[in-house]
Amino acid sequence: MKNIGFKVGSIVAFLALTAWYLFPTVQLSLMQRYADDLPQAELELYIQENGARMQQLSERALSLGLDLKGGMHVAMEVGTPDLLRELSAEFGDAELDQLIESAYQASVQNRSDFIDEFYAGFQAQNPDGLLSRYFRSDAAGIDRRSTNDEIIVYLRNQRNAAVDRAIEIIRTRVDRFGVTEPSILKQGQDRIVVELPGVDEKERVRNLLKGTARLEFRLAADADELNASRNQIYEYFQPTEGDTTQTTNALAQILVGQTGNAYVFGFAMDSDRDQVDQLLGADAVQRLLPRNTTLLWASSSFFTDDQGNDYYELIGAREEIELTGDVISEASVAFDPTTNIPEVSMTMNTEGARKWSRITGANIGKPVAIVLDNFVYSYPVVQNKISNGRSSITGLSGISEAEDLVNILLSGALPAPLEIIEERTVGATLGEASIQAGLYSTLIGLGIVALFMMVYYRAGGGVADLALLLNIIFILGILAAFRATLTLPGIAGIVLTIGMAVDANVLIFDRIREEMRHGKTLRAAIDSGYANAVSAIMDANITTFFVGVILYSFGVGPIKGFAVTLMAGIVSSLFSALIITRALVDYLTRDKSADISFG
Amino acid sequence: MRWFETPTFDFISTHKKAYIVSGLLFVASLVVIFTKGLQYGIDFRGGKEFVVSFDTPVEVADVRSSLTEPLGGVPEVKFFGADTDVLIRTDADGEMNEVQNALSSALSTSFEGNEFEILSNYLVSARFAEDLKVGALNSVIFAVIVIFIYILIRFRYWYYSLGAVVALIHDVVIVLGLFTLLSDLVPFSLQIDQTIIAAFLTIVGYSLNDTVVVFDRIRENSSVYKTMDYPAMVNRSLNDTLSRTVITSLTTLFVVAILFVFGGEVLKGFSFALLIGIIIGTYSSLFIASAMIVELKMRKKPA
Repeated sequence: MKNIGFKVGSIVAFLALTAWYLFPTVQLSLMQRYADDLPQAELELYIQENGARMQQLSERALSLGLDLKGGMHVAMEVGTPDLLRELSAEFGDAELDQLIESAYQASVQNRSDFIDEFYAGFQAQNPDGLLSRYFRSDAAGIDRRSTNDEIIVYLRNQRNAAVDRAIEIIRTRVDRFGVTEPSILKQGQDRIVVELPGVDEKERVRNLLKGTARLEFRLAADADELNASRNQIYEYFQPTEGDTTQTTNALAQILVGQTGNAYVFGFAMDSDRDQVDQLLGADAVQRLLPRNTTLLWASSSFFTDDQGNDYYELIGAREEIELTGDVISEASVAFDPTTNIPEVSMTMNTEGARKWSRITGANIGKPVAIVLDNFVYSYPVVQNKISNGRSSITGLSGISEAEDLVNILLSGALPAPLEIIEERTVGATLGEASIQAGLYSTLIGLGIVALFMMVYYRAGGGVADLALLLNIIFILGILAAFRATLTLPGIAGIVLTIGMAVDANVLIFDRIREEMRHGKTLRAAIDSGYANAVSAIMDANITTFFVGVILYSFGVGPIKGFAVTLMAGIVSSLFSALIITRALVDYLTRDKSADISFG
Repeated sequence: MRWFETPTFDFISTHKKAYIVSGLLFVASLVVIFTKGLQYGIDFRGGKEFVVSFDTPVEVADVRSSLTEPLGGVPEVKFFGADTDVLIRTDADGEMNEVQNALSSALSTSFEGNEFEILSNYLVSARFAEDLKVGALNSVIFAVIVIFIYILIRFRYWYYSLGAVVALIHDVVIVLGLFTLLSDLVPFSLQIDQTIIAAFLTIVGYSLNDTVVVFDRIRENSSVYKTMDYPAMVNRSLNDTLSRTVITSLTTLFVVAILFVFGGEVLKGFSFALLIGIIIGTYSSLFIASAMIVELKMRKKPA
């Protein structure tokens, strides 16, 4: 009966702690259950009164993983190669481009850092070369005399800043979109992990997350020059006489060159656009285009034929960018007064408005292309000089595109493109099915194991069952205390713990039976049974705990949840076997005459 | 109720037979793994995956053929727990939105009047998949090393470590072999992904649990029965702990079987791995790990 005070004390303390940590979870679920049964009108009132309290509780409650409550998990990588291209925009050349490309390939292959590979590649090619050839920055004090080491540090800082900035921008966008309890975290050097519970508009979210929204205002190409070069280009694709391999004009097959609009190069079917790009992308063809002219596709189709094929215009625009989205100070969704089609109306800052006024003033009667991420959204003809800095983007597919565009324009442009490297989206239906399955498995598992223990170990088994029940509550308490998330593999971990947690008791009870066979009295057998079983129990559990730690450090997402429940299960089953069942067994055998059956 | 109260099974002298059985299983597993190749899931291979639930039952072949052209390649299509639900995996290039639109429009034209819903979708880029694969491999190797060192510290002799680790590798390879062999034969997914790696590490932990309990008894008995010859003493330790080994394996098997039946489609592969892992782990603790110790110790110090 030694240490009985300590045991009871620690049990009470553990129970109290568990109750403290699980209380918000229980209260929140009671409130939600109550709210679910309310009629709509009362529900609003209830939320109004208790919304803040529920919010408070949910911050401390046991949270469910996205695989259980549904939602999107997206991991993105910041495009460091593009960032470097941008930083070197002024001095970059073909050699640098080549270097960046091969450094990227090497970093993929060796799973290494891109900047390290880039520097190694640069040194291999130019043993005495200076990176200051490519990179300058007044703000960071990087000039012609900067050493390579300084520049590498500068590049790393720029990457960190780009990732941080991207996180800021994504947070703003997600907040504007309206997601409850989003989580946006930096992972490693250049990755960002976004978790959005309860989101089901996957397409919109994907566009929103990686949307760059590079807004540009460009002048239209010269109509006569464009027309002349179009004739030359079609001529270029005309098959030469006597050529048997090619008898038709490859370009004329897929691109219709006759349009009513002098600024439109041609139009093509949706599915042929890639091929048109390929044909026109050839160097020989590019040389035939007028100087300073580039061809851009329209964002929406202008015509649909009987078979349902959409046709898109290819528009000639100047290469120079007159204005960018940076000058936009305000944006909002508006509706065209006559057609009621949604559009985005924008207001520019003072500097932008001044330039815009100059551009429109000098180009009355000519179109200005409004280009977003390399697609022409509209090319309205300037009617008169616009001096108030107003402009709008039309040609949008609907209200949600307009809303998202406003969101992206206002949250700022991403410093570098983001690539989605992992996405896991679970619908609420599948999540609910998983919760049901997990709950059933837990209850049935608990029932069968408890029954078996009572049949096999009689009263001893009953004591172990009580400990098992407390065990599960402890695991949930530990999860809540460490703010861990309960995932489906996590539930599997709990079910598994039910099977394994009785192990410690099995070890002890078997040992007690054995000691009694050797002729010891019940009390003596209990004492030495516990004493002798401890080392086996500790060794077995510590090794499994190691496995849990390793799983936690290497695994991602749901697997981490499994590792956490596994570790929590080990700690709580050790506690319940060595402290709780011991105290109970001691209590039941407090009188010398007392008897307790271990089967 | 009492099972195996004072058992006197002879585990050690049958070890030759156990070695042959295990050796054959081990080699057969390696042959299957190397000829058929490990069946990686999307986590370790990359690609895009969709779980689509239809209103009325569909044929896998119909889904596959209707998607082959729009996705630009033959997708993998499997039932997902019910004959209305299918899992589609594709290597199609392009943005998730494009692929999802192509899939949705192809399914709605091919299965007109049969409404469907996309229950979940995954995308893993090839680069990220490579990261996950290396991470998983590292975790398994790391686990084995940590276990070797821990047992070395606790039991002081290297042959305990070696016995335990050989038993672990034996368990993992045989489960992996069975997985690869059965992957086309069972009506649920047995592809190797992160969850399966978690299951493997759990098997490692579980099998070790069994082994360590026996080792602990061997250590204890070696100071109690100093005069007994070593193989007999190890055999006695195995018999002493046999009841516990069987009971714990049974309770764990109960819950894993329940998980397999009621745990839902997502956990099928995971619980299947555990199911066979626990059986093999129990067997290796009884017949392989301890026999290895006897063998190694006797060889070191010829009696």
